[in-house]
Amino acid sequence: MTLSRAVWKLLRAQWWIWLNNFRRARGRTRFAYAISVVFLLGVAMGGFALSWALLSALRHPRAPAGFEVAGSGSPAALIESIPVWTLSGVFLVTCVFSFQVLLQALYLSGDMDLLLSSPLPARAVFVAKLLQAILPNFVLFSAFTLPLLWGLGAAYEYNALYYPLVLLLLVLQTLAAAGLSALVVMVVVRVFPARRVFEVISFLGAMIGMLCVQWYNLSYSFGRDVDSDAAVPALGQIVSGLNCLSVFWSPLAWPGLGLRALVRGEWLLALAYLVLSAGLAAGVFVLSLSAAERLYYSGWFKVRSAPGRKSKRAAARPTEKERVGRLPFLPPPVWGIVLKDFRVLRRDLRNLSQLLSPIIFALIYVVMVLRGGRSSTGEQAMAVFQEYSFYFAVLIALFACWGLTMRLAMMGFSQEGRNYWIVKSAPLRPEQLALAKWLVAFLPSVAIGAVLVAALAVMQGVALGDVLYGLLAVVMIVAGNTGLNLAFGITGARLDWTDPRQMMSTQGVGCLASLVGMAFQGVSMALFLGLPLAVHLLGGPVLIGRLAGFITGGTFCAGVAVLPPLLVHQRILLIGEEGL
Amino acid sequence: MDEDRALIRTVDLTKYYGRHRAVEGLNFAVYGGEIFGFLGPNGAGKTTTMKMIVGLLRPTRGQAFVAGHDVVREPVAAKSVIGYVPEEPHLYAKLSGREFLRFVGDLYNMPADQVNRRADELLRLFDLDEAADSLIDSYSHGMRQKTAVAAALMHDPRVLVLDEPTAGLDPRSARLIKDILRQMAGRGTAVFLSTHIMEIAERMCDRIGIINAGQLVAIGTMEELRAMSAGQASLEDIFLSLTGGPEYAEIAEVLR
Repeated sequence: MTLSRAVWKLLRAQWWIWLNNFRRARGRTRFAYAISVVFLLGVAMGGFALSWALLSALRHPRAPAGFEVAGSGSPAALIESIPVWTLSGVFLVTCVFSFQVLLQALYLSGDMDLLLSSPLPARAVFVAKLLQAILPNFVLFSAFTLPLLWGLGAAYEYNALYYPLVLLLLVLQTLAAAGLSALVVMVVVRVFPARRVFEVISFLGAMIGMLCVQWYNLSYSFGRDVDSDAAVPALGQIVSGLNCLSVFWSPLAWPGLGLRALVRGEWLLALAYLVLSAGLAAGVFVLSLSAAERLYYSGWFKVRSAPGRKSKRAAARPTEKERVGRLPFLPPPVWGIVLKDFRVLRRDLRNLSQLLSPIIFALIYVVMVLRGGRSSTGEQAMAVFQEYSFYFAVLIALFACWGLTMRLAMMGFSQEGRNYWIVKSAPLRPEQLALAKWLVAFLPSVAIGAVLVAALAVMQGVALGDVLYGLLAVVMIVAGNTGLNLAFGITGARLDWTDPRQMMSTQGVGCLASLVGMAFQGVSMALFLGLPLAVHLLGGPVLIGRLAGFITGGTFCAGVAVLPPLLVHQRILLIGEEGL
Repeated sequence: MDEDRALIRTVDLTKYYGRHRAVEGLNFAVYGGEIFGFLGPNGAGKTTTMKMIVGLLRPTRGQAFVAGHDVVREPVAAKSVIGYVPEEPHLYAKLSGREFLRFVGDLYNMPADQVNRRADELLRLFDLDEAADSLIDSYSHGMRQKTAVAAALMHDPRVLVLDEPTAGLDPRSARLIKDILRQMAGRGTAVFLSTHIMEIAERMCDRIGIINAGQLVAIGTMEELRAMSAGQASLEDIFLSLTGGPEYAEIAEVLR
């Protein structure tokens, strides 16, 4: 069988799998697919129109003057460097993003042995795996880069050869990047177990994503002190930096330089650059593929995946002697589950990223609030902030705890996954199981809340009485939140997940829990903090206000902590049986 | 045998998944000190029956009693005497073998010092002591299977329910598990196991039940089964004649 025919067969099989999944998917999933396709097409078309319009604007007679102000030379230089940095960017981004998908496709998909033992050329299996892995990323990147480059062509009326060549070079850059990425995957998997690498990458991806989202808030907070006039030279520096990428000695720049020569009409130079870059990309792809294939066949990568091997560090750990005591007031099964969940949550990086997010989120807001208090524009706000600083501390702490409690309490049962049989077949009452999961969510959340309140109180110089009342409020509100989220978690538990983001049976449960949780937070904070504040504003004694707040808020929170889980605790016996 | 001595007893045990009948009207008993083999083709209802006995699935109709306790009405009392090994040993990948056994000891309310001692004993017995402090994540299928069996033995159960306990094990480990089961039965434990390996069933089991399409088609000792099947010599022949032998003969003919 020829290579192309075998690759075609394998890709067709993947297409069938995708098609079967699509046909058997629920209506709303199919709708989501359709919306995604329409959205992507919209982005591509919108991107094309936008880049055409914006790049055309640079042809305006006044454009060069604006560029001189920015200190970045002429717009022509920037325009001509667009293909260079776009295609270089595609190569680098594909290298990075292909790593995780290739790791999954080559080592974690589980069908490599089946495919390699079939009478298909081994190279076809690798090519198909590579294509299958990079195709989604290629489509996604193309939806952004093709409109930009074609928009550039339309704006500057480049010749007809430019458009297909852009597509061809994009394909070649992607293939070369994926080939290199496959090699890097092999090397990394040689040193670390594939599954661990996947977890670490997922963890880093989640953390970087979260920090990127929060970057805006931080940069806004810090950026207020920055002189806005300094931004113009900074833009100029970026443009100059991008122009610097267009150097003949960098192979990454060759495809872009080829396109530049093509649009300038320097045909020989264009041909030389394009042949060089096409040859290099094809060569890198074929060499990487062949090396990856040889390494795979030699079993080179499997050395580190052997089961039961221990690192020196792990072996040196005195776990054998480790004896964790039991708490006298908790039944051993409850304490056992609490201990087990803390260990599992700590060791599974996929969970750790979800747990760290609300904490980082809270820290960022703490920084923002503290910086906000010192800003020159908010003297009045500063005064209010100082007077009621303990309320702010409690609000921030509760905000941070809310995210953590939601994650821990709502996913407590789903977290068990396919291991749920272990606790379900054990002699446990559903109330004991619910209590264990409640503690798993409550203890870390309240600890973080208490630390935040105490730290903020120390920084703001809050009185001890205020701090103690704030701590009490945090403990009670977190307890209520835990009970509420646990009840939703029991109702929407799902055990057959592979990705922690799919732990709930429906997204609706999560949305409803968020809305009800928000309402609970509002009411409980109004009772705990609003009542004392109202009494204080009316000139009443602080102690009376706090007593009223504690009695009403405390009763309400205690009720919410206990009643919702009690109402649904019988469902615990049915988790894992739904749909059977 | 005396019904009062039964450690597992099912009465009209039935399970439907929607409209699909998985198990219908099962009536049998397993007594202390015996090894009961539960045989049947794929999809016959073996795993469903076992899951109902250990309290993982609710019966649609009928009852399962373990040590005299109704599994649905008195689940805690019933589960406290059962040790269960599922077909696929899904264990907490991020716990070490030792931590997992200690966790199971806590679940079964064992005294703390006994938990640690028993865990160490079982790890040694199953030759897992070298890997005891490595995460289960890094264990092979066989090591996971042995860990699951060790966990089932942690609280010294009176009833052992094992779904394909020797699947994926090397001959030495398989032999070890067979010896342990024999010893447990010798001490009065009721062992209820499913297997596809006829040799294991024939040699190890005191009585055998054969289930086909959700219904119990035969139950008894080897001699009783032979008598029922008009003198078929081996358990394999008896099994095939009761669960679709002619089809297998046709397949063999095609492959010839």
